Formats: sequence, structure tokens, C-alpha cells
Amino acid sequence: MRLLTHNFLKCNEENCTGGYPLQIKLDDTSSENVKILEQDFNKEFVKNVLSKVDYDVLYNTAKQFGISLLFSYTSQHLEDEGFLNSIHHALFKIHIMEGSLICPQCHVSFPIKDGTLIYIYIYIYIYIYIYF
Amino acid sequence: MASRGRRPEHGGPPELFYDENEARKYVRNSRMIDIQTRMAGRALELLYLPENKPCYLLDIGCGTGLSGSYLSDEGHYWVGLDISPAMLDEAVDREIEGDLLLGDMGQGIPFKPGTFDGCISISAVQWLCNANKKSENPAKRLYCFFASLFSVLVRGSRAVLQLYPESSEQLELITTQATKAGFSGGMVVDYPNSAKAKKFYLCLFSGPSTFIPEGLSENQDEDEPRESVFTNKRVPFRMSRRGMVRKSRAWVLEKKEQYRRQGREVRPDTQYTGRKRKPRF
Repeated sequence: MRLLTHNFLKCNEENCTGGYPLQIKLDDTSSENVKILEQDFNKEFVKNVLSKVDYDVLYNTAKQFGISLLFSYTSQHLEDEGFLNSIHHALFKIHIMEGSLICPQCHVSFPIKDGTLIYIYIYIYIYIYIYF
Repeated sequence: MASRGRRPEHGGPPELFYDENEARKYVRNSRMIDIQTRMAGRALELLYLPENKPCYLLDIGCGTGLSGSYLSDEGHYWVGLDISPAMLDEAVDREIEGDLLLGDMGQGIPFKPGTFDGCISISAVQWLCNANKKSENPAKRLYCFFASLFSVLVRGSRAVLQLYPESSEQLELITTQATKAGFSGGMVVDYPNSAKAKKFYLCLFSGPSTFIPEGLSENQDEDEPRESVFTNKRVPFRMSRRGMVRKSRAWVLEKKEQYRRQGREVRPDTQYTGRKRKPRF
């Protein structure tokens, strides 16, 4: 689960408005809850996606992982390779492997197991779990 | 993966059908890999994304990530959604580049509006049409799916869903729910005359395309005229071979040209075309 995807995720529960951004809670019991994996840097895509992401959410989330991005950016920064590289690192290379995402409004928690987000209502998940 | 006789949807929900054995068979079967990759390629073609621009796509029913690998090879970034944990475990083993979600598409797609530049789905949407619990209503689940899909797509982007519909009623159910959700578009059927190769692609457009045409420039004379000119002048139909002597060289050449225009296979014109042969020929 990259931070890019986390930036766009929102809580879809019924009667939950404003379920964005989901708070990341890392699983401290497991040894490898965050992985840094390499990914090719594509300048065009980073620039395009930067206009789509919610930059404040990205800034706060990156801070949680110990990455300090610029607080705000201007169009000049879009040409700066170093800035784009730091954004690329934050968005694409950080993978949350074990943890959970918690909705700030209704406090439902969605676990992340082995990098996969389990976004399924709890009763269905238990029903599947029994069969496996 | 619809068998000719009994359809897998009738046996139960997809999370139970695609258990560990089925998932293992699926990912190791070379024929399955070939078919799914080809369908993914065709769906990506129908998506008509701008050239050489990597996009952020959604893969519904990604399963083992076969279609997702194709998307990554084409340079796109994607997020996959699937309901079967076994299939997603196989995908993780294959180390695919997309982010995976374990979720039910019939209950909505949990993303912000205007997130994805496009959506593909290979052999997944027909699973929504069968109700597995008494409380489920296929039409409602389909509507919920399409409505949330419409919301998460960028305005003017497309969704291409390859599916195996059981009957025309099922197809109609799916298309009415898609239209209710705000999509426009239609069905593309590849190889309609072949029972085996026939594939259905539901192409949905979320609003008019925002593709901006090129502005006018000063060197217009160099460009070929792009528009057709329509006049009311009647063009009389002239048979081009009328004035010629039958079987002469010019007649033969004109006849060959006509055949080429019709699209038939014609030998190339050489110095020997239409030459006088010896009498005993």
C-alpha cells in the first residue's frame, strides 16, 4: 500500500461523511511494517499526480514516516529534480506492509496485511476467514 | 473463466470459488495467462488513453494481477480490487507493481472523486449479477458499483469492462444500471460470429471527452484539408472502361485498378501485363 493510494482513499461506510484522510496506524508487533522498495522515477507522472493529490495530507503523512517535504510548493519547484525526487520517494517507494487505516469520523479500522488493504465489512471478512 | 456448461457464478460467491487450489491453477495455466493478457491488451486499447502518458488506473477484479502486470508493462500505475484473498495472495507472490485492495466491488469503491484516469476489468463484473445471499439484490449492487465507479473516475475518462454475460437479460440489467449511474457508451463485441472467440467489452464514458483539439496555426496551407467538403453537385457515374477497346492493354490495366479498389488481390503491373500472346496460347 503506497502513500499515493492512501492519499486518495476515503471511508465509504454508510452515513459517514468526511471520512478523509484515513489515519495510518502501523502495527508495532510485526518486524517489517514499512518497506522501502525501488521504483523507476517518471518525471511526467510525478508532476501530473502532484496536481491531483492533496498536498497537505501528503505532507502530514510523510512526516509520520520521517520524511520532511516542503510545506508548500510553487510552479518553480515543479522543475526542480530534487523536489520531484523527494515527492517520488514519499509517494511511490514507501510501502505500508502491516498496520491499519482508521477513519477519523466513524473510527472503523481497515487492516493492512502483507501490503494488501482489507477493505471489506467485518462480517464478510469473518465469513471468508472461517473458510480459509 | 466461464465454463461452457455450468457457469461458475451459479456455484456460489467468487470468494469461495476462487479458493487456494483454483487460484494456483489459474496463475499457472499458460492458456489462461495468454487469454487474460490479450483481453487486457484489447481493453487498454479501447480505453484510448493519451499516447505515451502514464496514467493512474483502476483494475476491478484484478485477481492474480495478470491484467495488472500488462498495465505495468505499458507504463501505467494501477490499483487493484478483488474479493478473493487466495487470488490476491498469488498476486503478492508474483510481486506485482500495483496496490491491492481486498474488497467487494458491489459495495462501492472507497476513493475520492476524480482519482482514476481510467478503469479496466477483465472477466469480473458478471459475478455481480448473481445474488448469493437473500439480502443481496443484484440490481442494487450493480447500481452501487457503477455509481461509485462514476464518482472515482476523472470526468471524461472511460471504463472498459470485459465480461461474460449469461444472457441478453443480464446484459440489459448491467447496461441499465450503468446508464442510471450516469455513464454513456455501449458494448463492443469482438468476433461476434465465433462462439469461442466472442468477447464482450462494455465501454463506458463518464461524461464528454475533455480532449482539447489542436489550435489553428498560421501554416495552414501545409496541412492537408481535414474536413470533407459537401456540395450539392451531382457526380454522374462514369464507367471508366466504357470508351476503351475490350481486352486491350489499357482496358486490362483499368480493370485491374478497379479490382484493387475493391480490395481484391491483384498481381502487380509489369511490362508483360496485357501484352499480345502468341496465337497458340
